[in-house]
Amino acid sequence: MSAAEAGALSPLGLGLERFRANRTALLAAAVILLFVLAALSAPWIAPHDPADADLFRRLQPPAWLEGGEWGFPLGCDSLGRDILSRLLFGARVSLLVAAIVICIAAVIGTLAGLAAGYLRGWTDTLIGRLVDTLLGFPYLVFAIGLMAMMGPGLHNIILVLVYKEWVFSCRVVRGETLAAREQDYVEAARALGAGPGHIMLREILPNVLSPVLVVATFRMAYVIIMEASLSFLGLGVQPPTPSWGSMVADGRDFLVDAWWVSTLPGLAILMLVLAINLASQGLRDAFDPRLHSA
Amino acid sequence: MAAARPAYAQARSREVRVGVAQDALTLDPANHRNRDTQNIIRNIHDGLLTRDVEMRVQPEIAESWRQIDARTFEFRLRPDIRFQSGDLLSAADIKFTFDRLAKDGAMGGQTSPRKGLLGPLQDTVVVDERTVRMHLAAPWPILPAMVPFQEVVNRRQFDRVGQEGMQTRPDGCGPFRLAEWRRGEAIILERFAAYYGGSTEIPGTGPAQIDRAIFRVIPENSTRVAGLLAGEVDIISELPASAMRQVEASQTAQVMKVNGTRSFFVAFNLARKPFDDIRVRRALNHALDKGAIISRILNNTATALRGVMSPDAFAFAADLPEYGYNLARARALLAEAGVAEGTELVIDTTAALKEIAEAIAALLSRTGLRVRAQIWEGAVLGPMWQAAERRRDRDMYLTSWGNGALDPSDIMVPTLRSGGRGNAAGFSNAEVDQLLDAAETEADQARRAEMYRRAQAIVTDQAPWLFLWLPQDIYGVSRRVTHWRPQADSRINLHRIRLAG
Repeated sequence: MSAAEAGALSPLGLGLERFRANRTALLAAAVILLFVLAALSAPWIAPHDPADADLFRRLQPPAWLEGGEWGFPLGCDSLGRDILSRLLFGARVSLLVAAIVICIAAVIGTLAGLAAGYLRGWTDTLIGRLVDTLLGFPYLVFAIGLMAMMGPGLHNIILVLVYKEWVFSCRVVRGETLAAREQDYVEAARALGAGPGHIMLREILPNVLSPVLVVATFRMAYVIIMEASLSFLGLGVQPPTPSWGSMVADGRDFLVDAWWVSTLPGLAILMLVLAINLASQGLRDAFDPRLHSA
Repeated sequence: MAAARPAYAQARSREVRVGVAQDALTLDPANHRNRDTQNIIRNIHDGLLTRDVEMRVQPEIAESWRQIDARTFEFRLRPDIRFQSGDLLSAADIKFTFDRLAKDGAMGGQTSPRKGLLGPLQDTVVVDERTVRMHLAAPWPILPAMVPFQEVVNRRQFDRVGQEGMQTRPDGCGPFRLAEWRRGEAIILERFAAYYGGSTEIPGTGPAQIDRAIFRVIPENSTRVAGLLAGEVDIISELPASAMRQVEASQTAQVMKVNGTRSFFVAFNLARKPFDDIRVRRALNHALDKGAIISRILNNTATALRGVMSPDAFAFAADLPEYGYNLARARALLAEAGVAEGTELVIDTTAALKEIAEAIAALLSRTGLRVRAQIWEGAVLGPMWQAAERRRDRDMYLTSWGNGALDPSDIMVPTLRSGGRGNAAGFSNAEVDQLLDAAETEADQARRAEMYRRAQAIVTDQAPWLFLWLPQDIYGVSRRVTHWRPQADSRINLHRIRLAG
């Protein structure tokens, strides 16, 4: 890539260009896309209603094992519900929760981080203390406590995860903002009479966006695991809505007799989380200026 | 770390290990209302009376008892019974024990949560060293059936250790004494060599046949089963029906079952539409294919119920009509009652019953209604359904009621009498109330039974519940264990157990 070409690209464009050169990350992104497509089209591609129980198909094995049939390719759970259909609909829960939580958390975290980093003073102290307090709680214990108080359900799980999740983008943005506020372009804007709102949102924000993107993707994998953990503990979405976490929990009594009930949703979680982690590593490598300064 | 080797990893000769799902909440017999806790306590403490494996009431510390009049019972004690501390048991200990259970504020300022199990017991009076009388505020013929639920404590131990000490330092006169309690992990018991021998009416008296008994806390079902199959534990309780095949197939362990005493049902919120319409309640009773759930999910380890009572209980009405599985009839009744297709109904329950609740919801949905299960925290759900005001917007409640006394008084009065503490449906029927009240004080057992049978018939006809089943308690038992059988009251009595080989 020549210097002239590179110069023509924005930091974001440059990063995406580097990301595309990373094969592993690209493959991971394709896997994520596949999961997203499957989740979006679940009502059309799922072979059965995910809540449709047929006790006579209780613990029916996957099609390739003895006793299985292709009408229920991944077998059935303990109530005779089709596991493939439940996995597809479960992907919606996992991805929906992750996407909403990460978006809200990123917006809140970024705004709070900008304010703390640019305004300093008591704003910084206040936000800083709040962040420290929230970070002091072990995440899962914090979430379990809140869920037990508010009761299970999709809305509550999103709220509970946002409560803590914004902290991570906030810390990153605050650090970046602290560095940026001393830069010449911020000095220049201030000299031209721009107000703090303008400087934060129009000058600094575009320059701290790439780390936010990287943090958000990293955290997304974590949020998916948190949702699965809470659902595993029975604090997540309510039945009959399938969630991967609760599917793993439902199958644990049958691990010896019917491994597929727990294992398949476990594999789905593993694949999605691994893909997101690889993709976010690719993003980090692509956007980290220290790796490309030469 | 080698020195920290757990005590239960030592030599296994004459040691029985029991895998249980839950630790004891306390070791104070007066301060809990919990079956698993009592199972452990009952091996350390004996009661005035007990039950044999056939569930007949038998004397234990008492040598005999008689009813003097409608409100007075007299118990004669066996001589020379010693507590594990060496103190001699006397009538004063019996008085202390029952006063502590039945009098307000008698448990260090608190009132015992077990008070309700003793009904109108007012006072316990020492007649002489070996005789006590219990005076009741009202006639209550089932007192002898309820006394086996209580264990006798040593009044001098209370003076020594106080209310707090009673929670962790038991001094009973049962076959085992406490060696160590590792909270959340294990309760280790040692044979009490000076044990008086237990009930003379049950064969096998004398001290315990084993040296140590250990209750290990293993909450996870599959871990408990694996522990049994690996020989780490000899008996496990609450064996999941889904693991029965696995245990039977092993060379080392077997499945043992016993009829439980807990009736399962779905309470309809009668104050709320559409459950105020009897046709809807009957329709849902017709709509559920109970047989499918019992055979497929419960592995045929439950008895379908047509009403409230266990078939093993006193005054069981065997001739109740059945709401047979009939989907067409259910649909017709719903249409007649004007319930629209697609009406959403919710079954509330706790995580332990999630699978059952989802199965019931799915099967009821075949009527065209949209039924789903909602899982709650037990501590939230119970109180919510207890208060008419708080359950106002709820539809159905999948729950159960234990009837360890196997007497209708112990289950119908709390769950079906107007205002009963377990009356989640809000059922209120003047004739049932009157029958239950009259039966409570009727001394003639035949007439009592007749009243209860009539009340059961009305309840089944009015269908305030979706009647479900009575599950069996399922245990996994190592083949080395002999002289032990599960009991309907779910006690795990280790007094007579022996080990082969």
